[in-house]
Amino acid sequence: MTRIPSLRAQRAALVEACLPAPSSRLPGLSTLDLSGFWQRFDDAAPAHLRAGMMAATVAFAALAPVSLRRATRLEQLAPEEWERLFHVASRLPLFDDLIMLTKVVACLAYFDDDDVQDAVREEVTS
Amino acid sequence: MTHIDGSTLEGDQRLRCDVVIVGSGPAGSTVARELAASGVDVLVLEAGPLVTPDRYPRSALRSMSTQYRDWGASVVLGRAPMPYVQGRMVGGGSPINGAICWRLPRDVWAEWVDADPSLADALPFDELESITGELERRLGVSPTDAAIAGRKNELMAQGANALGLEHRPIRRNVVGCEGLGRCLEGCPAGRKRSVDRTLLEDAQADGARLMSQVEVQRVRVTRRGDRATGVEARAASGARVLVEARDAVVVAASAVQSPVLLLKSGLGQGPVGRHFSCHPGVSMAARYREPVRMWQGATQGHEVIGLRHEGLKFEVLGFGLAVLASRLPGVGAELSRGVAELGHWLDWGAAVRAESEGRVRCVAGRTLVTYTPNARDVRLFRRGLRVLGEMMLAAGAESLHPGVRGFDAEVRRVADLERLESDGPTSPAAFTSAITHMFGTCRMGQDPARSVVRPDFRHHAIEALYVADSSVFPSNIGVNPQLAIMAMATLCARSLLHRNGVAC
Repeated sequence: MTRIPSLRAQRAALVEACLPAPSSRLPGLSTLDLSGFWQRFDDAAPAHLRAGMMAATVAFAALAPVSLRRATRLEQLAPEEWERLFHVASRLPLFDDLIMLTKVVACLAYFDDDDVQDAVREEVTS
Repeated sequence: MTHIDGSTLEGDQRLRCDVVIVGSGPAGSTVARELAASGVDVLVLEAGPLVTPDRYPRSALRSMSTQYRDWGASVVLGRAPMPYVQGRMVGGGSPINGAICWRLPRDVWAEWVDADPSLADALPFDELESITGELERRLGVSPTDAAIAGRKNELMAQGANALGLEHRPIRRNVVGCEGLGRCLEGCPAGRKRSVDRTLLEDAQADGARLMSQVEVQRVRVTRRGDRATGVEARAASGARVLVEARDAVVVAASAVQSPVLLLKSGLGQGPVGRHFSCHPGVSMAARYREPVRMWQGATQGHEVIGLRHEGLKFEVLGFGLAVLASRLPGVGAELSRGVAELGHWLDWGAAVRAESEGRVRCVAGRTLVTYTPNARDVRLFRRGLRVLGEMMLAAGAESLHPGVRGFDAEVRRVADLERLESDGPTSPAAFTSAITHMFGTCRMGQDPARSVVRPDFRHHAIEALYVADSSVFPSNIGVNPQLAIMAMATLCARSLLHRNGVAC
């Protein structure tokens, strides 16, 4: 998958959509530089994790045109369209594990950034 | 102290020793310490890297990718695929566990002896107790200090009191804990007395050699196939490592990796890989109105033990932020709202002393673990979640998130928790669960048809081959096993010394 640029872009869009900016003081996942994360993921993650992310990407890419009723690619979706897509997917049993996996990957990527860790800790006290 | 990093090895190596030990976790380090103290020439081979506290990463991702096998995401297959967690570094899981220390419970020992009376003489309980006491002193085991416990641990005490359940500060192998909440990534202050910084260092001080990043691929045996003579391994550099062991090979690679190594070596005698047992766990996430800052205080500092007789034990959990966040409800905007107030969320866990058994296989050179919790175990999942939820509500939680498919995503009332226990899902696949402790896949016993090693830890069919880790346990034990593993491994080492005429 990692050699297919279009799938790679859709995978990144899916993961980034899991965590839009939590607050004005916390960045969204899409604003972080995830190149190092994806490099590590593609080079060293267990095969079943990489395969799971590919399955999630393909599944969401197939679901998006159906649920949004227009031909589209994941990296072209607006935030509100992601919300609709996640809402539809969350009601489909087959998507349970894929959403969970994507969420875990998104959280690992987000908190890999030390600045984000500090900011989230400070958010409680501010 | 001799340490060789396998990633730097140039050219194939041929080494000799008295005893080669496969694995440097609690079992392997303990055996190494006992043997080296008696003057035995010991070589310890560890598949993972040596990581010192100054290099413990802060991020869960970097920790999982360097210190855990398969990024902590190895999965058992079955009706409910669930992750199982294993360390893969010098010290095994010890540097990255919650530091929880339990003695082998007497009632569990009695069960073992009832099932196989030969174990009474081989595993004298009084001797196990004495060994454990000595280990506790070396490891600095003591109850979690209230001064650094943190709010998450105080709240569990409060919740347990409200329900009238017996509870206590967790006894841990930590000295001078600063409450950094980073046990699971390795204590950056070096306060945890993990085996790599205690027992293995003792062994090295007595002359034991350690090779890290060297993965053992096969136990070598004589042409007649009746005696172990050494191991074949591959270093991270690609170099081949051949070890000739004059006295014995000790396999201490975990309840998953040890049977796989035996199977890869063509040593499939007895029920090797069968009788896989474990402690699957479920967890409850809760939101509190007050900031509770799960990341502050002892990682796992309090436990509820009042329902251990039912097969349930409850612990405060202390994940890194990434793992806690992934346990929050929703995805997209809903998940982000949770992350913005992450300091108000807690996660506590219930570990189940499961009845069901699985199997470890080696298929085309790969490890395959199959396991499905049975109806009784799933009932304990539901009961465990109910009790966790009731404790959390009693301690001030405003909403609960059981993470159970087919049940309410959010719960706020005790009545709904009662409904979860009585009428909740019966499929194990409905639960968000994970496995931590594993046992039984090379279990010990008198009967070669029903066990892999003898009561003195020797393989039934192969001379000079010992197994020392939790795979020899006849059953799971319902409590955190690292200290019991070390006590048992001490007996294994003493058995080996006795067989080889060395006084211990």
